[in-house]
Amino acid sequence: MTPDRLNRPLAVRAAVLALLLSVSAGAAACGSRPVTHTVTIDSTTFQPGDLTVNAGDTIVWINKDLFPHTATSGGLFDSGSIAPNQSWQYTPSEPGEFDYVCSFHPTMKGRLSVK
Amino acid sequence: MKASVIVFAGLLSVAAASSAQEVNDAQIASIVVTANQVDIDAGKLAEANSTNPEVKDFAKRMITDHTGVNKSATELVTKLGVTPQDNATSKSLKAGGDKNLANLKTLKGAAFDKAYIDHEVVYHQQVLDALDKTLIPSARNGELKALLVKVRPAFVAHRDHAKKIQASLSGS
Repeated sequence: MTPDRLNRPLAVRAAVLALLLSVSAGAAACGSRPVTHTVTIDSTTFQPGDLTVNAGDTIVWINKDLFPHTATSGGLFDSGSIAPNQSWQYTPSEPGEFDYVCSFHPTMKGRLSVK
Repeated sequence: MKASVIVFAGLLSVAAASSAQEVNDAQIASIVVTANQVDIDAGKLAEANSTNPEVKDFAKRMITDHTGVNKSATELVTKLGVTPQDNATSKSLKAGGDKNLANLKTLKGAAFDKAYIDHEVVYHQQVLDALDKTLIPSARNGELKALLVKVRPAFVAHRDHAKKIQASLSGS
């Protein structure tokens, strides 16, 4: 076995691996790999108030305020009480436009767009 | 009832005008703690006395939220080594709170709910005015100012929530 014969299959394998990596990177750019988004609850506000995600992504609501809040969308999701410095997460599986509120502070509103 | 609210609002604006002057951080600390405590006390009375679920829930929320704000305010002033100092505004808030409690204790049922919620609308507006005109502009310590800015939207949310309940009470 010469060094030349040994190297050829390795080079092929490297090329195949590089191709696979670029395909998976392309898939992630198209949004098929789930990602995690954060909504910070602070100053009696959802930040950001409007968020667009892909179905299968996870949204984490972190309460940085001084008292409890909820993230509640009629019938679709309801975090229940999120205490200060606690968080709650939700992974939507279907596309849609979802308005939500804090059920403790009905004037506190957010919107989730799932593609 | 309307007339008494208007008279009360008038008294509050007089108090606000007399306090529209420079206050120091120790005085601001006292105003913040007193303002929250006054609303916690009214909330406790309403939670015990009201039979309206919407009013009871609101009262519980006021107790929880204002207790949370006071916990942070107390932690901050302790950390800063500030001793809260009584002043015209904190005294006026306390006197207004005591007067409100005395009035509420004479009422029952729908009259109690209406008086409690009417006062909540006026009270939260009064604190917002104090925050905007006196407290936030006067706060010297950055962390104290940041705390005031952070809690301001809660007073807006509480006032607007109280207004919604006010509208539903007058419609029923």
